Amino acid sequence: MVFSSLLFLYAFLPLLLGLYYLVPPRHRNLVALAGSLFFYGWGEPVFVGLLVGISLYGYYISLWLARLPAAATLARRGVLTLGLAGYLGLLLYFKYSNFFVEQLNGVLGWLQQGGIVWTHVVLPLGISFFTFQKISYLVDVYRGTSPPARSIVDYLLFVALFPQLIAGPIIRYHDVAAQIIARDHNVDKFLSGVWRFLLGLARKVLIANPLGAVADTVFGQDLGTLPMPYAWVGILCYAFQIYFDFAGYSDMAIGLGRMLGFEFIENFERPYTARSITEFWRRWHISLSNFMRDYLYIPLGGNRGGRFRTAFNLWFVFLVSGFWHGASWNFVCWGAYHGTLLSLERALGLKRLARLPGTVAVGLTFLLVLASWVLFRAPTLTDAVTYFGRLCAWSSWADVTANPELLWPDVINHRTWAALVVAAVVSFLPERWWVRLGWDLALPPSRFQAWARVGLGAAFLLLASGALANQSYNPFIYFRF
Amino acid sequence: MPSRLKYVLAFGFVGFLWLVGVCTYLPIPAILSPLRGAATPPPAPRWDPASLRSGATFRAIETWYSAHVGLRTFWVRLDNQVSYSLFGETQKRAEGTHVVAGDDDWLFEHHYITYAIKPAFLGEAEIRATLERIRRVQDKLAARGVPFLLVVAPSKVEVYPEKVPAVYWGGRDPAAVETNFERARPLLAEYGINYYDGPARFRAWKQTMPDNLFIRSGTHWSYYAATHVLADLRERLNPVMRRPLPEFRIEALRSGDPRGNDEDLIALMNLLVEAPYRHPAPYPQLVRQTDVPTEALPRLLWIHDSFGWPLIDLVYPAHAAQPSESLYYFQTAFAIPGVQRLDRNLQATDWENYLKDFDAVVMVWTEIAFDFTGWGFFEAVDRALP
Repeated sequence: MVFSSLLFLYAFLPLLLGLYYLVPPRHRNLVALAGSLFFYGWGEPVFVGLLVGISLYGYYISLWLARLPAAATLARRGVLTLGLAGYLGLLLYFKYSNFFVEQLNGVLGWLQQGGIVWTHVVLPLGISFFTFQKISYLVDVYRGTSPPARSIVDYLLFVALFPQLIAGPIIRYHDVAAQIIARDHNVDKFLSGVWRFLLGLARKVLIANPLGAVADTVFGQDLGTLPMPYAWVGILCYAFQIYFDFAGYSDMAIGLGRMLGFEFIENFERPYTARSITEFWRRWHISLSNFMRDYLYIPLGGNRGGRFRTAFNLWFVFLVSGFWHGASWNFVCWGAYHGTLLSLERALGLKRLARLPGTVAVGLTFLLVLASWVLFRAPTLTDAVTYFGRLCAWSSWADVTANPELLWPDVINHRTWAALVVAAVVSFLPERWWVRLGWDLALPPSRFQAWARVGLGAAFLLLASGALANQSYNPFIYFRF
Repeated sequence: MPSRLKYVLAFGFVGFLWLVGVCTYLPIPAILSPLRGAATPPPAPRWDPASLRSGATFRAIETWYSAHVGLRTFWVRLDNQVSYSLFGETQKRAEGTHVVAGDDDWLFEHHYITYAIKPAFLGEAEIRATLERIRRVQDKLAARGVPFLLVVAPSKVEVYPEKVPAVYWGGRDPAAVETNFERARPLLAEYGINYYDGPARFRAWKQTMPDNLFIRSGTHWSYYAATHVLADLRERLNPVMRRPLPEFRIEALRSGDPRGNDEDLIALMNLLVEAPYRHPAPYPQLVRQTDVPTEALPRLLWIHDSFGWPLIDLVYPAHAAQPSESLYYFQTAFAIPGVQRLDRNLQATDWENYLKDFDAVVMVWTEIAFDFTGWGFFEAVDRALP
């Protein structure tokens, strides 16, 4: 089940909220946990057992760690290694084994040897996210940043809490430990959650979905003959699709969290207004960047080992981050590309970049990010290289009319152009505007703004429901037979 | 904002979610008319252990829920209205009929536009092979006293290309692009196929008649144009039919709200408010003839696509032919008038006996379907008749 589905909106959510607020406060965690497991099991019932099993494993490892005296360094490291090996082993098996076997079979084929017979492994939903969460929990307990969860229910709720289970934000245990034990429920928080949820729903359904359809159309063509204007429209739509999709999902997660009394960290801070790639990564998928910094970059030595070592650490962290996004060479190259840019910025000195005029710096950064999205979206590396070529294929300008089945209206319609313009305006609007608009407040102090917010929220809900319902209705003019 | 009002908003939000959810399961009186168009209902969820384990059951429930969600008619119509009223366009769909909106509410089916500018893709050898078979069937029918007439219906976009938004032509002139039918036209004459050239006829009529050959909100020739087509068909068929068609007399031409085939595209758009986009159309009032008794009227076998319906809709109320049968796309048989579905297996039909009861076979075939071969009719009859 996804948040932006009618079943979630008009069945799961009202039922869960009703039940959650009807039971006595001491049972709310149980309701939230049962709802979360149901939510996860809805899409992949076979993997609920895996989620619970691996959670039990982590929970008991953490108890074992906590019982070991602080002086028993070696034993503690051993237990931590055991826990991490279990998590990473599972991630390796479920997420990467297909990829590695495929590569190995490629090499064996090249050597004219028979390939390995392999049954494709199905990827459990959200495994990348909840594995990182569990790693953070184990390391926090090891470091003493937070004590182990007081009960298995608390721990399971931390892992499985449905708003953030599938696609983050990656919540770290010490951020929510106190909230799991006791959290505040009030009408202001609830309404702020509703507003944030509806904002995310609109970003996902009204902006990201139509832009995604354009990107799918463009990337689904024969890329070798793609006219340059279509190539640019395709990648621009994808750049805003991925942002509005992911940030919209995070908004919905944060909003749902607030409706249940939780406060999650922000995951996006207007990343396309960044003036450098370094700043971009402070604004994009913040919870992942924080995780990578705290659990990989700093343990690797961070910036303590000289300029070259720092650059390498950065590059390596991004290489890993790229591979975390998906098991393909595209993601590896995407990570390496960002790592290289970050290392270069570090080597050149960020102060120099800061001297560039704001518009130039933002534009340049956006172009560099745009190029990275080609790597991210293209089906293969070869396709990505071809796509880069089409972005510069000036002579293909007139080819937009070459194929009668791929004219402008077949690629993008007026409504989607409008979505693209709105997406661009929203993405590049300076921060001070957002602050002035009090965008995260459900009910701003001014009465006019408050009612405007209520109206906008209602419009988002109606329009998004309309768009979702219409996707499921594709009638033909007549039954043909 | 007062605290009480905040509670009203919070309960209002959750209450609205509940309301829509409840409306999914309870029969709430419909305020809006049901959605129009032919959509396949989603398959029912399967409850076997394998489907449950794999999650297929849950995905099917989700699809079912989306197709039955409370207030769905309102949701779908709202979204379509936003697209049409604010952006002047219709929803582009992954499947189903894609309607293109032109200026002044002229509506078109997208694939007709594509066909008009897609160069012919059938080679001459292929066309000749098809025409040879058609000619053979025509001769076999004629030998049994049953004339055959192939009615080629025009495409709305070929008749009114100026009403299609220019961006859909991609700089092309549809008149300059040779389609399969245009390539086949001289060969039809060469092979002596008895055919009615609807596209040429409509091009000529367009110079002398108002914009009524097709109605803005429909995809087929209008009832007004269909009346003229019937007069032409009568002229073509009567000299060779055992029992002739009586004259079609128009009592009056009344302007009215588009109906039947004339509103099929606007109906498919499923708008919340349709009225401003429905433009009145002229409707011929045919006189029901009583001079010729029923047994002296011809019995026509109709094999047709959807362009056949406006003709059928006019012939029978005018009492111009005996009750007969329609083989829609040569797949489904209907008794006409009344359009009652018949349980007829066309693959197991004894064509010799079946065809002898008819005075003529009329095949209505839209020009964009000229890559087809009569949906299998010619093969079946060619095989069955010696």
